[in-house]
Amino acid sequence: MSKKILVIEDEENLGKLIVAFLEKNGFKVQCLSQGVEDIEVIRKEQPDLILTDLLLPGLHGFDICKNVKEDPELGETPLIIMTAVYKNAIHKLEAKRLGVKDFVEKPLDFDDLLRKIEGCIGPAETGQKQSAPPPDTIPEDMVEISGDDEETRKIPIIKSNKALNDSIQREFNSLKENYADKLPEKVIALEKTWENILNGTDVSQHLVLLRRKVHSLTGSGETFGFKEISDKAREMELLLDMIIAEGEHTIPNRKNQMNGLLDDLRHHPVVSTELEMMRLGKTF
Amino acid sequence: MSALNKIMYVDDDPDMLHIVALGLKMGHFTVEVCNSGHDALQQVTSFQPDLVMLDMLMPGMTGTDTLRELHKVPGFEALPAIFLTAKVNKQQLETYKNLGAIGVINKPLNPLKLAGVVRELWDKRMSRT
Repeated sequence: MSKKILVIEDEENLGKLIVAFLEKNGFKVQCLSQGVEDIEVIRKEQPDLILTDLLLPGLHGFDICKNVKEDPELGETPLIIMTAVYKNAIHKLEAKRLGVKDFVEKPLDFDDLLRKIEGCIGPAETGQKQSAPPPDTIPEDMVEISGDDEETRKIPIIKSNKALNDSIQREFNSLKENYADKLPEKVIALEKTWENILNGTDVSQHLVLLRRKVHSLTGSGETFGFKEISDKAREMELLLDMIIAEGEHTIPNRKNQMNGLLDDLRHHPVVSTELEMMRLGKTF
Repeated sequence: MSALNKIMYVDDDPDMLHIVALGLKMGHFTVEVCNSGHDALQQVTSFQPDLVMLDMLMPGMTGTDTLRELHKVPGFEALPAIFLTAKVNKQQLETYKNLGAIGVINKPLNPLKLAGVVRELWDKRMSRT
């Protein structure tokens, strides 16, 4: 008998995609697209696993997790969270505290999703061979190194002579200052491109352009020491990916979210200070 | 083991071009920066890089497009590469490897560590050949 997964996802198209994918892999699937107001609706489904979004109508995903874990009938049911925005360490810690088994980021990597589901409850049918690819293995002779993680930190900074090091350090500082100076222009450019999209001007071209600018910020922000800029840009990139995947007609639904993220960028201390200085410069 | 002296870096983001070039210079590498795949194709023969580092997401020619075209230039059919990208999955790693990449460096990166990371990737790869 096939194992049953309950999917709680209010994005209709995404919900359908997830259901189709999981059914293709042999699971029985029920999707709740209106969110959950009462845990009773989950009890009725008796799922073997719950896959839930976080930003939902009704109960927030974290509240669903808490209620499930506290329920005598559902308490042992594994939970996997999927989210586009609740991705930083604090959110993951909160998820763990609530007893969540695993976390998948949007946009979804479906192979990764299947692997994590099978990691919790095994394949769809007992006795069936696990269909998900093995955990992330990098080809033997291929090396991936994160730009700045624990492994990288063990790599020593190459020692040049002191004079060269000092000179390079000064140049780094200067580059960082230049980058900070240019941040307001970058934010203004993002806002203008988004405005063109909202006005319906060459929407698909502007979406691609906006995504490229935002992607650039995800990489450069933290490289230059502005991690919050990269983090915010990453959220914007995911939102744009969702808009591009789901279609331009979803832009009105995403407008407030994107406006909020642009506002956050604008209020970053470095950006807002520089914007204020620009304004004062114009006043004088 | 082949020596690594000259690195060509390809990225459409001028801020990243500056900071990556600076980071590589800390490692005493000679660096040529190119702001597009087309620029890289124009510079490769005169610069003669030992390694090319490429941003993935560039308008027009992406990082992989650029590497494929570089490999068509006589004398650079086996030019090793490192890709710089924000996110990569297993299938993408396999693709990059098949194209001749020796590694991937995730963005954001630590510019002060970059030269060491590149040297590490080079040494690991070269020790297997």
